[in-house]
Amino acid sequence: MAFLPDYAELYCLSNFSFLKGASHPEELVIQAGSLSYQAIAITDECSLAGVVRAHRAAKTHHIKLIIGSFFQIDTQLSLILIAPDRAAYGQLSALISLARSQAKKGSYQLSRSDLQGSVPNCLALLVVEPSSPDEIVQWAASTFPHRAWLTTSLHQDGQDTARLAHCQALAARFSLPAVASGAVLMHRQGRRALQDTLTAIRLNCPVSTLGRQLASNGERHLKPRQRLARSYPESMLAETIAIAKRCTFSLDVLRYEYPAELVPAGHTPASWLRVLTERGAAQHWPAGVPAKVTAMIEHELELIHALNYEPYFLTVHDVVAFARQQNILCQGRGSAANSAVCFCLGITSVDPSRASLLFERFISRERNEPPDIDVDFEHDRREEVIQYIYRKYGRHRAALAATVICYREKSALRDVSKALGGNPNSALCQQLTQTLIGFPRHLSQHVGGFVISRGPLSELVPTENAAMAGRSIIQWDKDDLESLGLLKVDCLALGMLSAIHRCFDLIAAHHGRTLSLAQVPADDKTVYDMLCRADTVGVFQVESRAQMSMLPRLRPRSFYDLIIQISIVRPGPIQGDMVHPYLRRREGKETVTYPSAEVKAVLERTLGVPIFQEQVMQLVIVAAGFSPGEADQVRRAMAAWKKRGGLGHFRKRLLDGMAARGYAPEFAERLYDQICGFGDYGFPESHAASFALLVYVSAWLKCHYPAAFTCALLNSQPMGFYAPAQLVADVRAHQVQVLPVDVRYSDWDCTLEPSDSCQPALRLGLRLIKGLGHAVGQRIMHSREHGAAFANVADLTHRAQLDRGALRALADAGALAGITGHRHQAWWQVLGVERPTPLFSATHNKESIPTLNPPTEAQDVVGDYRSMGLTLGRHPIALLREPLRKRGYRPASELKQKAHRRIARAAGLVINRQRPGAAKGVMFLTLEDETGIVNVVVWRNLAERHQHLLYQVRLLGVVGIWERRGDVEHLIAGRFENEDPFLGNLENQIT
Amino acid sequence: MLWLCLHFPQLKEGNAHLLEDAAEWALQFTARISLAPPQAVLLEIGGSLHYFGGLEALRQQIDNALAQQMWHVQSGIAPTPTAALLLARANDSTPVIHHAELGTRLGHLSVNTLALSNKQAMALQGLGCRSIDGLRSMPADGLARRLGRPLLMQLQCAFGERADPREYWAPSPTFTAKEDLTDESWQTHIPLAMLSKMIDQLCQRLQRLHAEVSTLVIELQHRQRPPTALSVGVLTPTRDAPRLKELLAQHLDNLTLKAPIIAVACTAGPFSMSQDAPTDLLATLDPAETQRASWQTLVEDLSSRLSKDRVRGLQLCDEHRPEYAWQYSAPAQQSDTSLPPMPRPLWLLEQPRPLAAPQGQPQYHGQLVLEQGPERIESGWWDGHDIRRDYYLASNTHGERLWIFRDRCKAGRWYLHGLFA
Repeated sequence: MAFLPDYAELYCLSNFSFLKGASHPEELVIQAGSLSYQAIAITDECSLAGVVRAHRAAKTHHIKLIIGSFFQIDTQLSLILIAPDRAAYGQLSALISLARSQAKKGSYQLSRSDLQGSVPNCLALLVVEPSSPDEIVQWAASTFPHRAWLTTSLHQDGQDTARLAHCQALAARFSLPAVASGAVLMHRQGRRALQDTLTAIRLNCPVSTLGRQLASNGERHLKPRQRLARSYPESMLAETIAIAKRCTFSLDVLRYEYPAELVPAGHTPASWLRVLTERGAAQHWPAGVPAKVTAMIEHELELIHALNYEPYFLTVHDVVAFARQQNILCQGRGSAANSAVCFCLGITSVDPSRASLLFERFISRERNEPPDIDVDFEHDRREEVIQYIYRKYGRHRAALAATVICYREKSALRDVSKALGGNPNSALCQQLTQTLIGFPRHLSQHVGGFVISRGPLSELVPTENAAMAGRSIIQWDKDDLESLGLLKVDCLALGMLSAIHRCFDLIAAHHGRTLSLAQVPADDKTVYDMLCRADTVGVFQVESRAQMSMLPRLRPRSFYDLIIQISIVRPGPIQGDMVHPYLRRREGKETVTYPSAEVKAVLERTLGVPIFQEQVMQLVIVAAGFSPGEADQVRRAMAAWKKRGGLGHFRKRLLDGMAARGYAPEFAERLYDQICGFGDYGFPESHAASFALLVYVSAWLKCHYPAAFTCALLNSQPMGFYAPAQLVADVRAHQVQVLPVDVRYSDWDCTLEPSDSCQPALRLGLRLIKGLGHAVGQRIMHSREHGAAFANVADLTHRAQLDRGALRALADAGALAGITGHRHQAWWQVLGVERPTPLFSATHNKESIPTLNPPTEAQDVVGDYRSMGLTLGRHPIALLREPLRKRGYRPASELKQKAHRRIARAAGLVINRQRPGAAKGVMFLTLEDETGIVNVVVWRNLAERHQHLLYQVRLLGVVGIWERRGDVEHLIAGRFENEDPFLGNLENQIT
Repeated sequence: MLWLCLHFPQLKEGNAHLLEDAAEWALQFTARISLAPPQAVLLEIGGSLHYFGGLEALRQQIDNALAQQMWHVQSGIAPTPTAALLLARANDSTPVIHHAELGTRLGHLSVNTLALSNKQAMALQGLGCRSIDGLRSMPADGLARRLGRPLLMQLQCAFGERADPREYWAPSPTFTAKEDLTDESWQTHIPLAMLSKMIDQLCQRLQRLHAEVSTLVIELQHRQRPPTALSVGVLTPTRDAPRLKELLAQHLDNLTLKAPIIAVACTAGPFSMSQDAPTDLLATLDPAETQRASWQTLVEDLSSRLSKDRVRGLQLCDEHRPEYAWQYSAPAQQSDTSLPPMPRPLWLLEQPRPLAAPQGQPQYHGQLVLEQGPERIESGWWDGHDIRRDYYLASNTHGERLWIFRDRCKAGRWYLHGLFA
């Protein structure tokens, strides 16, 4: 065999050079390994977004990875900058950040002067073409003294000889070394069609019309060394090795440095964390911290210290402390959140003595994985927290993690078929689409994951502009951060926290009782009774129809039951068939057996059924012999297996591992199915525990203060599963009086008013009125507070400076009834208001008011719905009951008497349509009538045939089969009727 | 006075000429016609009743005539034009003959039969006012202040409480039509077809108006050049479409175009019965202009002599694959594609010809020497004609310079693809 020269590829764009590179970074690295390259550089265009993935692959496949980036400075000048060491890496990262900050999102801008002295440690490869002028070589030689190379890539376009000669001539003239490089876009030649397709997508033209804008051949792939040896002079190949040898930098050396300012002088992070923890504990247990808790705190602090995680807890504590000081509700969740330390620091309100959660289950010494704390804040106040972080650490030290938006089936098919200019069903199109799925498309901002650094962040990782003004993101996503051991603080927004806060405020104002998340009394039997009745409209997480149908069967009686409740009624466990075994065992109909003591230890708390993500990971460790690192890979694969194709490679490893440990094949197969079923939806126990607290708190509030709770929910809309109409109907069913919106009494928000019963009355707010602005509402409240009652519409108009639009909105909502009489009278007065002139503003010419016919009940109901989406009058279906009955429809209350498998007809307003991904195209409809709701199941074929109808019709008639299993009842749809004409008749009084 | 309103509910705004068509059609029943845009035409039929033999007979005839028109139309009959309009909009065709009936017949109609702005319609809905009676029951001043005086006036007109004079419509004594070609055209058959259609329309109109014309002015419009005008005249005024078309065809036959046609127009009128229009069939052509030779006329001459599809131009295409990098085009058409950077032979074989290549050495009239290359071309996977080839410039001892390639799809076989001059 002939002598093969060594080679390192130094110019290689992955698919993180969006719509240019046609291979994943991992593919490039692995292919370079199998071609026995000495090293490969990933040099994406002004980006390091793909390097962490490449780094992971390079470590697994034992090939050297070089970090660099390609820049097109101007039409003549392109160059590759390579980072040989940590200093150079920081310079490169900062340069990318600069280039990105000088252009709008998704592009970059760099001038030659930006490169002057900014990257003193980087190596520069100047890309030379036959047309390259001397001037750029001169520039490169002087800008990068002793670290500039000329490079050219040979792609057999017929000009290779000229290109190579020109490069060598320039190199000789300017005494610069020449080096070979591949300008690689693909790991294998087979990606040629995809690369052309990407070009077509980028240029937004069908591929057949692009002509010579496409590459003339598919040569920009990683080539075998034989071919390189034939194309390039030996010296140019040898130079690649010389450069690779100078590169000693690895991403592994990046050390995350926590912000230093959180530890006061005289303290170490450890001692300060102890002070804060003990201070919090003393506040919580003024009578003395229980011994059990003290022991937990000691244990946890020791663990945190052993892993050096103090600064992370301090950082999260600082953010949470700010929120508390600003009276913003928050609640932490995640692997480390539900610990005694976090409870003392105020990060979580889950009392460690209340739930038997082991801290070690969440943070593990062996796995050495960073702690993960997400903090939810009130959704309408999270921005204050974000601004605080920016203020405290500066924009150069804090940025959001990226979310890599990847091609999914639908978007890939759309773009490919557009690029092919035609048939999306062709084999070619399908094949390209399959390859394109999973390709990154652009970077977006993570919902709230902040990275905060000690020094300038841009020297750690490039930052770029986010779509939202004033936000910047880093080029790595959360997996990247995790694999490098960099920590992020997740600041998320949660509508329920806003609602709970409002509810606490209302209770303080009207009942004189102050509450916090931690102060809500635990283990209230009446609350669990209510949950078991599925009386949960508005309650966090358990208000959906799937949860409601499961509550009477799971019958949660304790806090841990709630954790299971919200984790099990999810697509993952449902698909993995975990619900029914759990139910049977809970009801004692089935005994639990464990194949081994290890498995028992993992699964005992959930009666042998894996429900939580953590259990799956522990199972593969104890039962199949995976290492913790491998188990972590399973977790990632679980989250992405639909996106990236298959868990297949784990299957054999899993089954073999379990067979070797003596587990029955059926058990192994079932476990594998359950893992697949988890998919995207597996819910970690550590998150469920925090959410369960909010379930309990919101249920407690609903149970004891229904008026305040509903009022708070209405003021936090839009959120949750139900619209205001259902929330109001529900609270009225709980004997709370609801008062109509009235310009004399209503605030912008819904409010509570004293009443005769034990619960206050709920006054609807102006915010419910369609087309009425917040500012208008404020003016109405202001003028009412600063003056007498409104005498008439003219007085109101003048004092609150209302325009016609606002007046009409008020009239339509019936909010003027108190000063004008019914809606029609209100309109007469509103129409009669003249534009106030400075002279005659208050003097209203007296004119007679005609007696207008009052609206019919139907007109009022229709008007209420049109303006506010709800009515305090009768349900519209009640007004249509007779004609509907004549057509054979029965009210929901009568259907409940029906026997299993009987034909039933129901008609109602469609208040909810759901087509969950896990339900394989099945659609769930909720129909509402004056007596209750009917749950309708529409099988896939039927749903697809009638899709248009199902999404358009407001009053739907369904003929089908009544199914009843225990307490769960639904109507299996067979046929639909569009009954909207009835609603039209209602409006036109033809009933 | 008795008014019949024809209401066209499907007529879109901006189609005013269709209302004029309807008015012209209605001339057969009365001369007193008034347009009520955007959707209605009013006919005063009180004066025609006697001639047509009474209201029922007249309605019968109108219905019969309407049936032939394929119009979607609703009608109403009332002593005031506004009332007729309201009835027509309500699709209530039972005639109201006497003023005294107006109160009961109009009162129950929906307010939506009035011409309402969106704002007015919203306001009426808010007031819960659905019928005209409801509207009339409100105090007139208050109503005018809230919904505007014009609405009140509309009501008063309908009930005959206010004079409602209408302006009578007179048919236009001229004809104008214009149409754009979908594509520039050097040929006259498409313009001729369009103009023929216009002549048909003209003659139908003339028929209806009992009028005739003696001259048509035809304009062939060009881009950046004044239009070519043709005057088609006849000795005696006529409305004979075939004859006019024949004359036009002759004119066009004798015409040499100086620029492609982008639009055609036809005007005629004022219509008249007189017979003194001057006609000179051959007056419009300038023989000197037809003599001017140009590339274009050469091509046209060649084309007419050799038949059109035998005269073609060649054009570069933006493509990597040599087979597709050129195409036939209209003669003398310019392409904005540049030449590829690498040399291409002037003569490309229709089909690549396989070359013998003993020991992998290609031969053509002897051993070939590879002078330049390879130029690798891989492209075209999207249309089923993917190629993967290495092209070389080669020469032999006869001094022939050839363009050959090795086909990487076919086990490296050699082919001759072109010859350099």
